[in-house]
Amino acid sequence: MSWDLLIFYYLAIVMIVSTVLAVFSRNPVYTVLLVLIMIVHQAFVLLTLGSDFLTAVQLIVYAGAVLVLFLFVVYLINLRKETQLNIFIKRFSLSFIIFLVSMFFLLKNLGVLVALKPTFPAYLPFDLEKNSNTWWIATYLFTNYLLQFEILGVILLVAIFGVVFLIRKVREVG
Amino acid sequence: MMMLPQLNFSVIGVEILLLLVASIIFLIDKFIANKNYAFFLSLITVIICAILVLFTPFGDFTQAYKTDFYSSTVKLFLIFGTLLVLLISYNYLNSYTFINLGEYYALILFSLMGAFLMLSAMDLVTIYLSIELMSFPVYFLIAINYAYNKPSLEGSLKYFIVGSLSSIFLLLSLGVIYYFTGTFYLKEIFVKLSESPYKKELLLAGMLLLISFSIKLSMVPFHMWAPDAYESAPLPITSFIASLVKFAAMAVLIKIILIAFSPLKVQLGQLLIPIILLSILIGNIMAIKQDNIIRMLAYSSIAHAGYAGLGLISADFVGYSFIIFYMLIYLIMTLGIFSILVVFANSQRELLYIPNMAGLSKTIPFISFLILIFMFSLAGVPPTAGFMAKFYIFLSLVKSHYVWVAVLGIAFSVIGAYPYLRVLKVIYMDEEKLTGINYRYDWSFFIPVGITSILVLLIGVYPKPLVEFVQRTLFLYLSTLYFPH
Repeated sequence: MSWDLLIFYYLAIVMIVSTVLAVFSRNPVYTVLLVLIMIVHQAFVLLTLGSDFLTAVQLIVYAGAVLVLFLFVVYLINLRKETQLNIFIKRFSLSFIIFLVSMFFLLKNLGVLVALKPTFPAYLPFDLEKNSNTWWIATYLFTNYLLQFEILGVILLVAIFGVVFLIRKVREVG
Repeated sequence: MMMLPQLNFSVIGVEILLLLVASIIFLIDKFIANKNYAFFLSLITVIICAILVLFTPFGDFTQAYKTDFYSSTVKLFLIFGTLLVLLISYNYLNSYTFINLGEYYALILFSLMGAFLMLSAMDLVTIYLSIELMSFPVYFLIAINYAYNKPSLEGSLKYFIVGSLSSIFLLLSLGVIYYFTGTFYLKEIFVKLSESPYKKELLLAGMLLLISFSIKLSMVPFHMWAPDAYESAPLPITSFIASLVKFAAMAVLIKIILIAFSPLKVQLGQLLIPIILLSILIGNIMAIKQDNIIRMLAYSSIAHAGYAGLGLISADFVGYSFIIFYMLIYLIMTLGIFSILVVFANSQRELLYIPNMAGLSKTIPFISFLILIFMFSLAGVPPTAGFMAKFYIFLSLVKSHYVWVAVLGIAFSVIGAYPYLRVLKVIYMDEEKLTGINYRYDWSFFIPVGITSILVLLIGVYPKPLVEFVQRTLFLYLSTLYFPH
């Protein structure tokens, strides 16, 4: 067994185990930390595939920003009581059946999914030997995809404006 | 080193103007006490936009953006609608002063900018991003008076969650399209699709695309958000979602199918048959038992999205041009009826319940007559524009040999006449219920209601110029797209 495969199996097994533990953990703080472990390992899977840019984005955005927000939410709200609520317990058997059925179909069609050969490398319009993929992404982002990049900026602007506007101090009813 | 693209800023001037004015309103709003400045500023901006659209040269801004006959025409229609929405808003916000804020108008301008970018977009990523840009301000606008009207938060959140679901479907579709064609540009997708052996897989992508857009158009299996969002939003915003957002989404769907998916358009139309027939049926049946007129109009807008979608089934460019015609007339009718409802909401909010409208014909005969015109038009009674719109849509269906769909659609639209005629029965035949209401009108009521009612009657009697205009636009657009000079 080569080192590549060994590393891949390590990452894959840790990801699966931490996800399962995160789902079944009773303490929400543990859940968030287990998801953090999963995301860090996912980032390393991306690194083994040769996409250093996505690894950095994964670590900065998910591990850095999203999970910290999750932790804030967990600390701000007392989730102990909510987890005992009826709505989370009553439907458990039903959702388990749905899970089993979807797993059955997934496994049944696993052969088809494996047989699908990825064809996308032919579409890559750039040469990865020449420059790193971060360089290529930056170049394309500011030339070909300039308009899309700017629209994204406007979307974020609108979102910030809107949120600040919604949480304004509300005047008394006149 | 890569070639830097030529940036032709004269083409994209309209969007830049909208962005600048909206941002300026956000900047200076704190310092101006009289909030009506925002209304006049945005009114002037929108009028300047109309002039700019008329004089903008046709051309590219990078590969992703192109102004042409089609986008400019639809932009002009949207500007017309926005003008009416702004007038309705002015009338409404002067009675509900706690939401009379500059940000209200700025968010409308942002949404309009998203719609414009979407109409001119030539690739799917830009379309996705500008759909988001169009929808985000609407989520905020629905929740604008959450402090006084708690359900508006619920409506806004529902629309937001369903809207993100729609984005997910669109992204899934983009993924499948990129996997099998390797491009996002509409014209290149068409070239790859014509010679691709993966027609079935790309049909799946088209289906996901249709699901995404039918969520935005609130067609039937995905319609649950519409009544709550419509009811809880301020009235002008409801009319904005029902008319303009739907119009823009429909126009873009036509563009995508016409350019990128034209080898598959017949199959895509057949996929839509159950969705559209169910939309017409369920929209009309659910409208029957609604007592709140806003909820009734919400269900009727589901049905009307269905009628417009019938043109997609017929899958030829005559059918597509009649969709534009239908959506334009639906826009006029909706804005007309909402400008009347705003007067009701300003005078006494209980009037928005249909049983409370009893005997209005005796106290306000003129407005009752206007309601009669718009209700006849929504139901599709002959001397009005609504009849002509339905007539042309069903004509295109029959011409493409989908007679059974047309027959079912007509049968369902007979059911759909009931909710509108019920309002008229209550207004004209029942005994008076609410008395001593002080109605207030001013110019911001008379202008939109005058324009829309005259247009409804005029198009109803003589629709030919508008129909030919819309058809010629689509024809010119297609011919310049495939045979550029």
